[in-house]
Amino acid sequence: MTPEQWEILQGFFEEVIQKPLEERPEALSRLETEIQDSAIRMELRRLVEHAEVGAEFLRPVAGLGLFPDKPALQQGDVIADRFEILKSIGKGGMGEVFEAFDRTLGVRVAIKMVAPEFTREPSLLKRFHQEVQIAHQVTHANICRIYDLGEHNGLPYLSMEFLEGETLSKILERGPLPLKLWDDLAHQLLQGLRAAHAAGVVHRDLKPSNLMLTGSRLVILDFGLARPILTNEEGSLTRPGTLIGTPDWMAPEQLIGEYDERSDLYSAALILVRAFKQGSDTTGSGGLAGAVRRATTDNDFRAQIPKSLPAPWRHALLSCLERDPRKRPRNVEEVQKLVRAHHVLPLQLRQFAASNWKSAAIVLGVLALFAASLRIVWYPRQKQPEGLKPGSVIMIAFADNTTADSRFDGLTTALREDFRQSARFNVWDQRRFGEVARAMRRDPNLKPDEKGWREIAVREGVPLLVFSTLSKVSDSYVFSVICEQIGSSPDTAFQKWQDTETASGPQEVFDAIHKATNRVRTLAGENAAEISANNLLPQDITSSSWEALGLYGEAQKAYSQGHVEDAVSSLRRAVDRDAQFAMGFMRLGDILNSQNKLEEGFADWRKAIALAGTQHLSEHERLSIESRYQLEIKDFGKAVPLLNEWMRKFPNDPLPMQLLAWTWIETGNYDEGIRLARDSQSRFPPTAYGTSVLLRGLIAKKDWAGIDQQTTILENVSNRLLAQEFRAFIAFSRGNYDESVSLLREVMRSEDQMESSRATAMLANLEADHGNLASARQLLSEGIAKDRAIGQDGFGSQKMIALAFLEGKDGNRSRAIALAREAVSMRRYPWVIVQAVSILARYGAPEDATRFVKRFPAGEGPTYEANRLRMRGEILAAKRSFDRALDLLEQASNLDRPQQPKEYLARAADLAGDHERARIIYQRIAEMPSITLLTDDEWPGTRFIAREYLTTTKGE
Amino acid sequence: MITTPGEVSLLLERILDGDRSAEGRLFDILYGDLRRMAAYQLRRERSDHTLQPTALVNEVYVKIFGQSPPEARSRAHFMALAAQVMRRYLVDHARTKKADKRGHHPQMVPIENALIYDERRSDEFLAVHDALERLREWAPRQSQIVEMRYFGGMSEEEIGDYLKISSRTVKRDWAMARAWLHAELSI
Repeated sequence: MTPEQWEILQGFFEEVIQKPLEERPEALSRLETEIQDSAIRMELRRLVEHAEVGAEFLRPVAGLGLFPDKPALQQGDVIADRFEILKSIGKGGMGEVFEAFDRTLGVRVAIKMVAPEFTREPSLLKRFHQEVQIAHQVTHANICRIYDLGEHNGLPYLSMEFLEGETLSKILERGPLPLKLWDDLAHQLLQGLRAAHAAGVVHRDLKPSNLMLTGSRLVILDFGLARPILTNEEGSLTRPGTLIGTPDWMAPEQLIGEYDERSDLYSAALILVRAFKQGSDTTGSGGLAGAVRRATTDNDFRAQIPKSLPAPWRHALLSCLERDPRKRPRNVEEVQKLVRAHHVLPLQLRQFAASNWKSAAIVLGVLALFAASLRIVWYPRQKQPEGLKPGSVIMIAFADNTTADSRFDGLTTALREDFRQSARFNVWDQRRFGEVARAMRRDPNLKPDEKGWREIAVREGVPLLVFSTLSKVSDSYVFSVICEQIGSSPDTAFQKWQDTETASGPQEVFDAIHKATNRVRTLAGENAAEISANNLLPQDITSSSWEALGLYGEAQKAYSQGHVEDAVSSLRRAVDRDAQFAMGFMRLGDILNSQNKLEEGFADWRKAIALAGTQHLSEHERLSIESRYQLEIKDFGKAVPLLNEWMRKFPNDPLPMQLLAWTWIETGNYDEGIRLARDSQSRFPPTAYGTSVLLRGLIAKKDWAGIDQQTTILENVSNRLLAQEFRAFIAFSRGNYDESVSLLREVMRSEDQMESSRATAMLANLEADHGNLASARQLLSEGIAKDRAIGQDGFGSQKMIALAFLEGKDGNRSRAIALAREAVSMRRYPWVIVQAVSILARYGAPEDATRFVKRFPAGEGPTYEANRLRMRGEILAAKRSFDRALDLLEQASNLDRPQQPKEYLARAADLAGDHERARIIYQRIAEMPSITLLTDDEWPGTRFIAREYLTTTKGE
Repeated sequence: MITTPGEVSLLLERILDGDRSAEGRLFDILYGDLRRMAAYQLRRERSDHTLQPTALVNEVYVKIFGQSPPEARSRAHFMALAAQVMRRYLVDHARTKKADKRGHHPQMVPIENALIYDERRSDEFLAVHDALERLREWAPRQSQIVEMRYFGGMSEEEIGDYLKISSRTVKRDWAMARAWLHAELSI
């Protein structure tokens, strides 16, 4: 195509386009016969076919203008050849409002430009037009008049009556209204409402900032401009949907999505009460909690309405504030009848009041809001918003129990567990709360308010936040849930859904919770099939006893504050209450295990697992606890299929992937482990755990480039010191001994005592491996003292056992024995016991060793079995029953990580005189990858000792 | 971090006087500023927050002109240039993103390569960019109008100001270009 052709083409194109749609085909055909140039002819047809493009196509990348803060219109701009913009009056939820001069009529008007986001859907725009047309028909002194609807630069605008004055909210900031003025305004308000209702328009969002006083005239703004977001085609609200406006002035039935003229009456009455009584309380009554409270308790407004109001008004307002709309006056006229006796309408207003209004039968919700103080931005959409993507995190704020009944304190637990069933979404880990609170310099013991939760959500990058409230109404309960889609700032929530369910009794509250949760899951994007795949009831997967749930909540709180004993006792009481409270047992097990009371801990876990079989745990929790149990007792054969099942059923949960990766690497399947860990990293945000697992695998494979990359990632997601430890280890693996030493010493000097302790242990290991056994001993001694000082018995006992081994090797047998004993008394961890038994057996205290064997817990699974065999084998070897000893030790080795060469087997072989065999095993030990230095159930310096053995026995 | 207002204003003046090399220099400056600011933002924000390149250009604009916006003609020039910058920037990144898609892309990558915006539109950016390059051969004005509108979000008046044509002409050109693009992209 050439420029000349294009110009000609344009001429023809515009000719056809100017015709209405129906006439175009004919015009096109006619032109086609006239055009000689075939290129132009074909192109013309093509262009005409594509001429009617939706507004969505080629929507500017930047939205309205490159500079969103720049006003859409400027002073001096002229719209529609008629309205000259004078200045900007303000920005509202829907768009910006300008003062303008209407050249045609010679008056000032207000122009409201609608922001493009609100008109994205063509059907919405059409709706907007229709509804504004109807609102336009209401002509009344007390209603802000809408004149015209037009389009400028592709965006719709409204021209409206220009008002000069103040909003009621501003006026009330200065104090309540005196009676005479109040009376006057109240009557005007009623007048305006009456006129609009008669035209079939309902306001829906009455509030002080929507009422303006200009001169002595009260004008209701944005009448008919508030809209319910979820409506069916006829425009009536049939189901709960998105909230609009702040709930401060809402009528109770609005919370469940019902709304008619009587709702306007309620709101109006509420405003009037506040305006008279307590002018400064213009923010209404406490947001959602207030609205729910008003909706659910029998408020006694009687007490709140001052006696100084004339009796007819008091009576009228009280009846408008009835919770049940059916008990309210049916319409404005009835209210006016009640109060008419006390007021005489000025003559001109009366005439106005009688003027034209139609009686259309449509109940409308029209478009958005003009909030003088923008607190929440509402984006009306025709269909439900897009769901969250799979794997998104949902944050469940602490539920608000307003029933004053403390047994419902377990509300949050029931709600949270119901959500955690979801295979599509993950629930934010509540255990992070303390850490995040401290990082934000908040008191971790204080419950955050709504804004606080939003701040946390923004900080954690969580897209959806769920608030909930439980209230009581005589014998019934109301459970309300509000979800907010989180933006980038805690001050705006740009999408809200709500659901309210009622329940007739405590057990039914569970059902209410469940219904609400399912609703939220649907709104967030789960389809029906996904939900029904994981749809157990909260009372089943937690407890049907509210007392038990309450105790569980108490236990959580106590634990987070460090009161472990209290936590355990609360949990015990909880499972006493409800013997089927699987989660209670699970948590008990968690705590007891972490305290090293492994027998009891595992017993509780097993109870939980058994109960899980009868669906007393959600599928997610069942798989989690079953696989973690197997991992704890190191029965990898059982753990792996469980982890696979967990991964398969919950593909959006990163944890099973990472655990399985760890398992592969632990068992020497490095390639598998690496692949899985990388997979997890590509699909989920990297975590410290996942990254360190991957690192271990890469180190085993000596993938230096990968290691570099992952170490950088580790630095970013965890703390610097941990990454530094890895770096030190990598340096060592590559042979940079000096570098690794200096890196680790740096960590040792840091203020983080835990990391310092870990670094000390690692350095000791490396030194021993390098052959500097004396340094290793020194480091361990010093490390033990420090660990004791900071109460880290776990680390201390491990260092002790390591030191015991080295002392033994150095010939200090009594010292070795003493250390071994002390290590066990410090911490009766099974693996510590095993190593202590070994030491005691080897260095001359076989009776002690036998005694210690009895302390080994009765665990199940191959690792436990292997360790028992090993201990017996070591003792037999000490007693010189070598044949039997070797037999047992071999069995042990085959049960526990058979691919790994065992030092105890090599040593026993050597003692038995089978040097050939010992050499073979020691050779394999010497060749072990450096990654084995990272595990702590190996002796320090094993490789070095193996190398020594090989050199000294070379001659044989 | 941002070029001095003086330097930019000076360049704008020269551009208005018809100095084409000044245009190239300002382009480079804006582009560089955009990248630096993006990098700065990314370091502060979490890596999975979407970054708005337009917001960044806005910041540049505000920092340069502050409270006193320049007169209409300068502004129009600035915006037209910003539209070009935006276009180049988005296309560059759409291309980088495409390359990245092969194999896994971990979250932590060298900062500049990880700039994110509405992913769904990155294919669109590339397609429109390519189509505009073709259109430029026989309809340079329309191509430029689309660039300013689509990548720069300029209004019809602003475009008219810059090209020194009436906004009515802009409207007509836009309608036709849009139809053509729609036809091209529908294949």
